[in-house]
Parts: sequence; structure tokens; C-alpha cells
Amino acid sequence: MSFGKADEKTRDLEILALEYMDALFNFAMRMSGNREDAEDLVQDTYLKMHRFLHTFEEGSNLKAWLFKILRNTFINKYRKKMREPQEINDNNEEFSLYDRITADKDEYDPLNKSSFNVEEFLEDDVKYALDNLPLAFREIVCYSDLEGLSYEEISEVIGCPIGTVKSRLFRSRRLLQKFLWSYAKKKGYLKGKKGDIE
Amino acid sequence: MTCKEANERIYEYLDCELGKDIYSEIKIHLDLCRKCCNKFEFEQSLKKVIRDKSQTYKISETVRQRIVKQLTEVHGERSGIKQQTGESNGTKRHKVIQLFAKRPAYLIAAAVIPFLVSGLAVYFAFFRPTPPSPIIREVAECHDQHIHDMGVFDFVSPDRNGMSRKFNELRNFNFAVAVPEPNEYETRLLGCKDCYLAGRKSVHVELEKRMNMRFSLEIIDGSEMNINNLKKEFSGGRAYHFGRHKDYNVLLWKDGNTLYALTSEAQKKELIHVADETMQMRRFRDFQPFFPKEK
Ligand SMILES: [Zn+2]
Ligand SMILES: [Zn+2]
Repeated sequence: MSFGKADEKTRDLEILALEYMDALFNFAMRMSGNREDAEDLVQDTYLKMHRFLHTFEEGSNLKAWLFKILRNTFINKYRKKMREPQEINDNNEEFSLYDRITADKDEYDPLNKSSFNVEEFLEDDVKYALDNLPLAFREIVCYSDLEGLSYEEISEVIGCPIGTVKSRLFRSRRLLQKFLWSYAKKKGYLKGKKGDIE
Repeated sequence: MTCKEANERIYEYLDCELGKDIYSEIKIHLDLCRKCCNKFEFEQSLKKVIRDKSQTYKISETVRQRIVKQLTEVHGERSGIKQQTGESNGTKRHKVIQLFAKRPAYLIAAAVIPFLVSGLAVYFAFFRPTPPSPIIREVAECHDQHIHDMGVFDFVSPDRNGMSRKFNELRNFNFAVAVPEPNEYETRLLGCKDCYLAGRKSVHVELEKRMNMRFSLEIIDGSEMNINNLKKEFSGGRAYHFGRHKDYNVLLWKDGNTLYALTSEAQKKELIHVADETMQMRRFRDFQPFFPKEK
């Protein structure tokens, strides 16, 4: 009976899966916004993982698979919240933080102390900008910039073709830069520019 | 390589998603072009700032222990079963008898299985449902995507005229988007967005019924798709074609040159009801899809 061996294998996979608990929790925090919900989500994810581990194809990506389970759990659990439609009103309008910052300078020079440096953004600024992104945009920035998932892995997690991943990531970053720009203005990071734009 | 070409791939470059050849082409351009180099460096440092300055949340030790314990417990149950079935050690025949004695259910199973198998054979030979046609499959997949899309729309409005205008704006041609006008008590419009279906641009309109059921309405203008080979049913003087895939029911119908596809988890009857409702409104109102005439 090969039962024992198969069970051993699942056990190994599960031990490996436990390595991703912090990453999953971090993501769950960003999506749900509070500790209690995030803890429930991670717990449900591991129980579901256990139940469906037999469907996991050997050699495929465990991390992407776990994120997919977490994401689906989140969507099912918070359907109500998700039902409030969100409008992505960027109208495909061009926006680049770099272009804005360099608008009245000949060139951006990171060593030039008088120009704005992205390092000046604080933890809070980044947090607010991320939290203000609509869920579908926030998740994709999290996958790519925070978790370092590849386009292919992201496409697996959200079940969209790679082309969709690219364009959504592009729109998400553009929106994120818009938010960062408005914080930079509000907080006066842009020397001599405070309040004189828009 | 031009600056424009390099800039189009800026994120793929920074995300390390490019093949070796194109990657080195861009790298050569960056070595030569100060302007692009500055921009790429800026975007790279921004990416780093977002990662480094994002607070990382750590799960509490108590919860971690709880999850690990739970997993060990579910495993414990399983290995219990393993031990029971692995115990017997005698002759082969002995083992079989022991197995049946221990688990009377197996005896029943042994008796029932032949019937089950022949039943299945008959089912597969005569009653097996035909696999869904490609269009049904595609529409159902599209709907599945929309409900897993976290409610993101290009335009959120309960107003069908607003939606039609939005699509005339989005596209620079006169695409008659007949957005349905649902009965507000039961069904409401959630929002709409651009979509692709069966190799064509489509309009996706999402409706919701009784606060819990979501319907995707996909509208393709000028579709030559032949849907006549699908099963059909008549209601309100209209032929509705239908199919099923992935636990979703799909309803298709044509209005002139426009193809409509309505998809939901709901029963076929309910889909026809929603379709009737929306199409009736359209008939009564003498719908003006674009550039409203002046009165
Ligand atoms: Zn250049
Ligand atoms: Zn669609």
C-alpha cells in the first residue's frame, strides 16, 4: 500500500507551505485591513490547502497556488464588500511621477539636493497610497512589488492572461504614483512647489 | 532601439520579465541615453521604496501555533486509518476476509459496484450531456472572470444612458450599446467595462438580482456568430439559446446584428426572466443608443 508514502509527501508539501505563512498573512492584512480577518483568512487557507492538496500538481508553483487559495477565500468571504462596485476612473490618462517631478527641470538628478528624491517618502505615505488603491489594483502591486511574484505567477493567481497582468500592473502603478504625487504636494516634499500645482 | 520603444518596456525591464536579447538591447540604449537612464533609475528606486517602506505584518505566534496544531490534528486522523488497514498479516485470503469483517461497508460496495459500473456505462453511452459549445464555454469563462475581478468597472452607474454615453466616449465609433433597463426593485445595474469575447470587443454590463446574484451581460455588436445549433427556448416572442458550463447557465440571443449573452449561477428560468425584462424595456422605449436626437 503506497498510502504511507503519499501521506508523507503531502506532509512534506505542507511543511513547505508553512514557510509562506508570513507572506500570506502580510497579503491578507493588506487586503482585509485588520488582524482578525487576516488571521481567519490565513487559517482557512491552510485548511483548504490540506483538503485540496491532492489536486496540487507536482512541480507547479506552491506559492502561487497558496495565494490563489487565499484570494478565492477572500473573495468568497467578503463578497458583500466586493459587491460594492469600484470605478477605476483613470480614463487611461497619462501620468508619470517622474515627468511631474522633472517638469520644470532640465533633467532629474538624484544627487542634486534641491530636487525631490523618492527616498523622502515615508512609510506612512506608501501605506496610504497602497491602501487607497482599489482592491484589484492593490492586490497586483502587492504580488509584484511586495511579494516578487513573476507575471506568470500572478496570471496563475488571478486567472487572467499575462497581457491582462501587464496592463493592470501598469494602471495600478500609474494610480499609485498619482497618489504619491498628491502626498508629496500636500506634505511639501517638493521644494518651492507646495500648493502651486493644481 | 528608440526611446519610445525602451519606455514601452520599462516595467517588464525592471520586473525582469524580458528575454535576454531584448533585455540587452534596452541595456545598450540606457548606456547611451541619459534621459531614459534617469527615468529608469527613478522608476527602479520608486519600486524599491515601495517595497522597503511597506510595513510587513507578522502573524502572531499564537495563531501560527494554532494553525500548525490544526494541520497536525487532521493528519493524526488520517494516519489512524492507515494503521487500521495496515494491521492484518496472514495469508492473502485471510486478509480479504478480515477486511470484509472489519468493514461490512466494503462487502456492500463489492456487491453494488458492478451495477454502478454498468449504470455508468449506459449513462455514458446514451445520456451523457453533450460538451458545451465553444461560445458557451467562452461566455461562461468570461463571467467567471468578472465575478472574480473584485468589482472593478470602468464606469459605475445605475443609469443605462450614462453607460451608453460612456461607451460612445470610450470608442471612437458609433457602437450602439443597448444597455438594458432593469426593473429596479428586483434587478439593478452595477457597472460596466470593456471586454473581449470570441475575438471581438464586447461591452460588459453587470447586473445584480436580489442583492446576491450576479449576472454578466455581454454585448457584441456586429457579430456573425451562428448560435442556431444550440438548444433553444421561446419566451416573449424571442428565441433564447442556452447552454451550461462551469456551474453557470448561459443564455444567448440576437437582436438584429447584436449578440447578447447573459450568464449567471441562476436557473435558466430566472435568466430568461431577466432577459425578458430588460429586452421589453428596450422595445417600449424606442431606444436611441447613441447621439440622442434633439427634440
Ligand atoms: Zn532614450
Ligand atoms: Zn466579459
